[in-house]
Amino acid sequence: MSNSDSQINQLRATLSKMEIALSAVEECIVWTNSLGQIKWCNGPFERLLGQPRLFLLGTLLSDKLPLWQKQQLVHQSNHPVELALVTKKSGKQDYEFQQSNQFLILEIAWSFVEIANTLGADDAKSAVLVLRDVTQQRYAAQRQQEINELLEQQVAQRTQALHATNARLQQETERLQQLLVELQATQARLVHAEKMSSLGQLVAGIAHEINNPVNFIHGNLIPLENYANNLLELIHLYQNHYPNPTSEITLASQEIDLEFLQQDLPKLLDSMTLGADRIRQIVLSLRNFSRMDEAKFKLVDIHEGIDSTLLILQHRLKAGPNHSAMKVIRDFGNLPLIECCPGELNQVFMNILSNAIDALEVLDLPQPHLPQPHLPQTHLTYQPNQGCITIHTSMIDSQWIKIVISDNGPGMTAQVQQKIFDPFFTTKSLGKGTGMGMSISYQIIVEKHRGKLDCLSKVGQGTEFIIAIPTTRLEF
Amino acid sequence: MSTLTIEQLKQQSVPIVVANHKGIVVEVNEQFVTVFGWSPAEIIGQPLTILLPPFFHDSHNLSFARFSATGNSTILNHPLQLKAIAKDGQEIDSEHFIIAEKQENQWLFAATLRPL
Repeated sequence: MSNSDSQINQLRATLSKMEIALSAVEECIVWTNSLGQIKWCNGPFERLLGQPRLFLLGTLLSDKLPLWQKQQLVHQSNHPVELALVTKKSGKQDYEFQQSNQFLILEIAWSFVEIANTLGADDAKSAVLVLRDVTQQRYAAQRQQEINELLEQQVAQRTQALHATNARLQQETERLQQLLVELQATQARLVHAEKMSSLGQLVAGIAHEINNPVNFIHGNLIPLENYANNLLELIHLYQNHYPNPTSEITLASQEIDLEFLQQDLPKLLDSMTLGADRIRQIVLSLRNFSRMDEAKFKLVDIHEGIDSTLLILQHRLKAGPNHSAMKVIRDFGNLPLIECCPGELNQVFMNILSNAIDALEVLDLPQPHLPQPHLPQTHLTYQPNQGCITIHTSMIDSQWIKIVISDNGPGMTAQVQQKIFDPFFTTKSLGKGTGMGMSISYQIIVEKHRGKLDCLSKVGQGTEFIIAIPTTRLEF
Repeated sequence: MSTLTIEQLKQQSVPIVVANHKGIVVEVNEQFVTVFGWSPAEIIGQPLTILLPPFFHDSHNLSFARFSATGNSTILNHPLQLKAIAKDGQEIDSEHFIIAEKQENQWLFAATLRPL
């Protein structure tokens, strides 16, 4: 055997190994000439197309291997063999290929090969395609993807449901908290209303009971005065006509101090009349204040209600063991009759004025360090260190009036001020305050009368309550 | 496997070409010369690929090498419709029937190339 024969045999052995090895792999391998005609393929490619290599050689690969993407036939110009030959670049994509009745998913990698020294122009350039059946993997991945998407969808749905549930729970919690607040307020109003109702009934009953005997007294005072005057005139007549009475009359006159009696009896009767008038006035104020039969809106004079309230509180304005007399300044404007619930409005005046008096009672007079109040109450005239309550009324406009009740007491901190309208909040010692007065007042002014109730206060500078209510009832 | 021998094949009055184990043409008959235009002097000693279209060369070389090494073939002993190249370069459709037999421990190939 010559050397060249030996070399040829070695080359054939190598080619044989290549041929066998390339057919032993799972992937389909095919290469073409520069025209896209099949020049070689391995066994798996033959099996993929169901034809022996002999019948495939020389045919166009794009004809033998029609490919699909997204349910559309891939045009010849986009076939991998063309992409390799035209772009001269490598690439890899998934394609679908119909084998008998089933579609396979093929992962096709393409490459361009150019060998300059091969014989013929057609042989110089080749497209080499490696095809791998990834149908199962892609279906599995697709299924996995679907499962993942389904799971994500379910997670999203459940998350959304959870969010919705949380939001509902949050709303429910807020609603319950709101209900609790309303319930506390309602409870406070009910308790207070019941108390005020009982108190009103008591006051009205006492006023009624007192009114009758006072009427007896007051009614009989004038005849009594007439009778007394008549008797005094008669005595005077006797004294004129009998200047020298008997010793027994003289002695009796001396014993009763007739001369003083004649002078003092008219004064005494005047004093009794004055007292009876005052009792009648107080009874009238009590009835006016209680007005239990006047829960409905009616046209009233606000100033009358304020005066009645002040009269009832008169005893507390006088000097006490720990404080001097308080000064009350009535700075009343010209107000029309106001459509309101007078009984309830009187309760508000009572609450605010009582609190003002409470505040002034704790004012430890004299307090030289106490600064002069400079709240917007410039109409006030202050005596330094004297407890003073000012009640100012005025028209805001034709529809609204304003009642400002201010004191020069110790004032409130911002923290206290924030809570004064809360039910059950009180700064007074146990048993002295219910914590309901301002809450009820707020409810009466804001909710019942559709008005406004504001509080301005600074520690050491007094407190001012501003009530604004419409002159006529506002319907909502 | 056909029992037809190369000698029997040569008896047929169709173009015939015989090649040795290296794939070199060693014999052609008159019909071959007539149909394909190659003279014996021109074709004998040439590789078989000279008779095959270019797109057939790679596959032929690899298959020939494999057969030489393993003795396994898919093309022997049954008629195949292929193309053969005449001397003027024309591709002639023809039915090929290829057989192989060992003579003196070397493969010898013979094929009929019946024009269609």
